[in-house]
Amino acid sequence: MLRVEHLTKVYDNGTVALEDVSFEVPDGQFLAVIGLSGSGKSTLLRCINRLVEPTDGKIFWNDEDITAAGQEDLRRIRRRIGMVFQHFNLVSRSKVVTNVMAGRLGYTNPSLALINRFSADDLDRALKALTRVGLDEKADSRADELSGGQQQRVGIARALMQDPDVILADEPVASLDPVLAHSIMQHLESINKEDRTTILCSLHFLDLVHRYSDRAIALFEGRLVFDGPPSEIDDARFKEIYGHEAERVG
Amino acid sequence: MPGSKRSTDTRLSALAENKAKPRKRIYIILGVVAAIVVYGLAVERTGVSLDEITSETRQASLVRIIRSLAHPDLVTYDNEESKTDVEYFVPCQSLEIPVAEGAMISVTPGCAEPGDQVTINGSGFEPRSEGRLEFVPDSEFSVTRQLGRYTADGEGNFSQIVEIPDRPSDNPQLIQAVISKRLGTWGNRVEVWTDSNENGVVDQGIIDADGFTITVAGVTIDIPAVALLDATREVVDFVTTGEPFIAIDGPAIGGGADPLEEDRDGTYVSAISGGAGAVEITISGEEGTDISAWRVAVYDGASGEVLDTAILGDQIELSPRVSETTHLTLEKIVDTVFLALVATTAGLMVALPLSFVAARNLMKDVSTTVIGLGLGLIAVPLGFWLGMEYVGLQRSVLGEPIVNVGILTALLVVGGLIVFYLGRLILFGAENRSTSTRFFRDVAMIIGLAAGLEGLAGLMTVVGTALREPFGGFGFIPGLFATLGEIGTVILPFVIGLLAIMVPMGLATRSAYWLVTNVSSRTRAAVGYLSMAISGAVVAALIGALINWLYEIENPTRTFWIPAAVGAVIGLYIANVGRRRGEVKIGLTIYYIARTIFNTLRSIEPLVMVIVFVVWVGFGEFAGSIALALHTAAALAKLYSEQVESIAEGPLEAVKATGATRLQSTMYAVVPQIVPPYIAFTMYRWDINVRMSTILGFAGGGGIGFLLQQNVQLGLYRAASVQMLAIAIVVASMDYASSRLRQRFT
Repeated sequence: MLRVEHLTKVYDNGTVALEDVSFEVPDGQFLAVIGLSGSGKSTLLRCINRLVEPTDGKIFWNDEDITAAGQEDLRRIRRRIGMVFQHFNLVSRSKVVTNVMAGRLGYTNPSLALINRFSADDLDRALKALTRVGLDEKADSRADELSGGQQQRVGIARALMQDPDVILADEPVASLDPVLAHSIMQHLESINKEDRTTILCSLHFLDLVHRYSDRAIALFEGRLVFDGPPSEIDDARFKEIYGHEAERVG
Repeated sequence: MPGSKRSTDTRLSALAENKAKPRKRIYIILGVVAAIVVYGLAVERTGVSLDEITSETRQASLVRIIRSLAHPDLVTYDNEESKTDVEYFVPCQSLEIPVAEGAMISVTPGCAEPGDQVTINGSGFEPRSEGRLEFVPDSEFSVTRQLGRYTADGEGNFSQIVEIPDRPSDNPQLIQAVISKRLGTWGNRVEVWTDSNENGVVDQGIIDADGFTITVAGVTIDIPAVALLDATREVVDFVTTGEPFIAIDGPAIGGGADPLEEDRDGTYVSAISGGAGAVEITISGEEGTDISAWRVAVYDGASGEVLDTAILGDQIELSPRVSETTHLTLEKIVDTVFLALVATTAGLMVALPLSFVAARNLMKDVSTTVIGLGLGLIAVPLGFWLGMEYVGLQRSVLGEPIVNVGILTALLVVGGLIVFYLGRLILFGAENRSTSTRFFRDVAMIIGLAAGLEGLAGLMTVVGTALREPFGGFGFIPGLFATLGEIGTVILPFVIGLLAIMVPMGLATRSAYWLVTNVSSRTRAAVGYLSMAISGAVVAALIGALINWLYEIENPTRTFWIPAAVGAVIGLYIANVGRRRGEVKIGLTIYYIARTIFNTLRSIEPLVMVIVFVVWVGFGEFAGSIALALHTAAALAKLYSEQVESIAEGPLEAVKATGATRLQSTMYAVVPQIVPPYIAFTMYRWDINVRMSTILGFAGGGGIGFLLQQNVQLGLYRAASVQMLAIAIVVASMDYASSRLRQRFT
């Protein structure tokens, strides 16, 4: 169970990205995070694995306070939280398999990095993860030789390497075309259903929210303005979330 | 109303324009006046002068230099000279017109007063041949005065007006035309015998029972000194009859002359006797050694200046042949490229690790707690000092220097085994161990490294030195290992000191973590303040010690107690600020310090640095390469770190999110991104270094610049031209090669 309590983030330049956000996510839920660009979705996801340091409030993972964890504990917590990015964030000059194995770094001895080695076990795991996203043949290609959809699948394989309890997906389909978007969302769905991995996924398109998520929360200017099943998002709610000038497209 | 609003705007802007206009004009006028003043001063200060440019003598010497530069001294031809002369009276005694025979020259008028202009007519010469016209005065010495040059026309005639020199005599004197013909061609080379001491006999420079004696005429000195050079111009021996001194020019530049000593090994100068107008030098060595191609350089033992050089035996050489200058230039240009290579490599090794420290994006979120900083700052100097002391202890127990191969091998084997097993434990063993296990493991690792590296460096030195002789011409290969071993031995205490920092540092980090998690905030604050006060005092006291060393103040109150107290107060202040913020941004501090050091070092030209290093290690390539390496390290560190700063942040964020440590995320997200630009910048830097090393010689840094400077100063522009040519070729080809390679990597 993931519990967010009174989370607030004010950036150094004074921008209030999150303001007193609280919610709980039970294990195994597919939670969609929606809202306009700049409403604080990315900041919220990044506060959970502390890529962004929260200004105030607490985040608990199975009753362990993530916000208070020291360096060593944070490393231990992070390795159980996978993350998928809008721009895939692969190391473009490295091989696909190396990118995937990087997901295992939280478990490997840090000194091993000095000699740039992974264990045979990790390699095996990486090939399995790649098979799962259907890219085992591309293992030895350079990451930048792959198409956008393939790169995002590598990103998912990297997250799978972490044996994650939670996957944070930050607009995973925003830079892909709609056909590919469904393929990526289906991978996330299968991970959610088969591995019982909790997924927090920020999304732009409401039809994707309706189609894949169990529950949605909405942010507007850093505040939580909606929390409930996606089916409850009617026109009135829609205007609350996206502002009064917005038009529904999908 | 929109209309009225617009008109108000126009009126306002018109008003503003009217107001601005006169002021703007004044600014323009002031600007022009200022520019005139500035440029006037600039032209005055730079000494721009048309008088100099148009002056006839200046132009003549310019033409001479440019023509010499256009005739690089690449190939030496020996010349065969033939003379056509005519008797001539200065001043006039009779009016008979002198006539020469064969190819003929005649002079009108038939006699002249000193300083008169006369016409020399020639006929019967080879068509279009060139030569020089000389005046041979009536004198017991064989001297000639150059009158000018002539070029014969298509029929073999010429007519040239010359000025008669001020050499009156009652006897007839000679005017001669000297025809100089090049001997041999590349297809058909001719053997030429050079009688270097002009005694008409083929002398061979062979050492006999009494040694070999040569007289260098034409030099008069009180304290003669002699440098003996072998056939490759290496200084074999350098002795003086007076006090030891350092040569300031000539072939032995930078070398020190020792007092003359008889009965030594090898080939050496055994006696020097200076008389009026000549110096007699005796060279001793193994009987029968042929030193014909060797040279001696006679120095003034008082001033350190070179006076003359002489070749020991007569030479039989081919004409034409590749000139001495070309040989020397080739040798030096190769030295120059190597100098640049060594400097680039050394600079690269320093810059590589430092570039990560000087990258803002990697350092900006490196922070620590007050206690962490306090304990860490104590740990750094402590660990360094302990490491240095340990190497000192190891050496004092085993004796210094360690040259016993058995002991060295034992050190290498024992140290190597410790490092190997502990390394495996660290790499593949369980990650989280107790603080005490880690501590002992780290200490053992340092001991193993100290022993192993000492053994390795010592063995490299001993074995490399021993193999130098048997390897003969390839002696430079074991020589390289010997040199690396020597460098290793010298820097070992420093390296172990740096590595040893990790032992107390590990303890500090762990205790800081323990204190943060297990101790009440009041105790934690107390420990934080105390540790920061101590570390502030330690750092300030170290700075005080440095100042004391620099300025020799020798006053403990001022160089120890006051700095320590001030440091403690600063430490307390930082602790206070850090406590309020919850963290200390140590990363950015390190970043700014590193950047400042790089920028300072980079702003000092290597040409200036060389001056300092010449004092330290003497003239030559070594001083040049140290200066260049230092500059390269700073420049590359800056270029590299800018590359690190411009990487895509996404992959770094993604790798960090998997729970990777700082080291892991650097290795897997940063390094792959910076490899191509690093290679490109290193190539570019080597290219720059080759260019720079060509001028380092001007300040005594060795390389081809040294030759160039010497030749320019001696006015040997044809030789200088060869060096310029070599520099141009090497720089252009390096430039081309590096740009091609850079294209491949970016």
